[in-house]
Amino acid sequence: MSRQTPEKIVAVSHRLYLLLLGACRSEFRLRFGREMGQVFRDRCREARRRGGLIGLALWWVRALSDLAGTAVATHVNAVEQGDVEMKRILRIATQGIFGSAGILLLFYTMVKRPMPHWNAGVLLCVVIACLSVTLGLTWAAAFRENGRTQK
Amino acid sequence: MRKRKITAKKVEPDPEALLPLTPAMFEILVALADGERHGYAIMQEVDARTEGKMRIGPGTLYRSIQRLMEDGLITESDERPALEMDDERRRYYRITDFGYRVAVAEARRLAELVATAQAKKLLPKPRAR
Repeated sequence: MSRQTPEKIVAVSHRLYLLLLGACRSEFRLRFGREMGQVFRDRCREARRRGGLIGLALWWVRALSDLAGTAVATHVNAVEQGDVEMKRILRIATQGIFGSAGILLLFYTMVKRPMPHWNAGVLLCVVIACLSVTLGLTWAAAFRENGRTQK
Repeated sequence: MRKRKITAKKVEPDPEALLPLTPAMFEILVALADGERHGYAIMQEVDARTEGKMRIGPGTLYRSIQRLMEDGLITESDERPALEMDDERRRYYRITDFGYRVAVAEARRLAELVATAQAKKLLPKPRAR
């Protein structure tokens, strides 16, 4: 292995890590992304020096799990701090999931495979619950929007 | 009618209100207690002090730094170390007076917890010298 190879591996790892930082919220990334990249690169060098390629791989595993946690936390923080856009995206996603689950269940139980009386009843309750959540979210959003425009 | 002079009194935040700190936040405050450091130096300090038992990843480190800065416990330092030791690309952080008081309060809280653990014989009591 040439002398430059370890440095190349570290450089590639660094670039890859910077790409993966895209999973974090943009404000956080813009503020701390460059520093996180530097720290990651320094640790890569240290791990490579101490444990060779295995050491580097182990550091990657740790860094990835840490990054995943950070990505989730930055988005959750944004919601907690009242990021309107984030709330809207979450609402639409929830509506989509519950709405499509309700429609699919309805289709499955009523058309595709009609079930015995009691089973279909239970599923129908689930369908109604799913659709209620969807309608409830839509209604709440419309109500809030209406209140905001009246102010 | 006599007019009362109203002066705005600066409200000192209560250090206890921020407790308990997360382990990562407390480790960062302890690392900064004796001087300013950049992110990687904080990581190395924590690693060395805990003999590798507590390892903070870059994400956790900067998430905690962000939180500590928002709460006014640490701040970015304007002063740079000696030229030969300085790395321009790095940002240095230092603990604030309020951060120092919060760290002291957290240390006291943990000491009380250790005392309780000793009283319940979960830990041996330290020998008197």
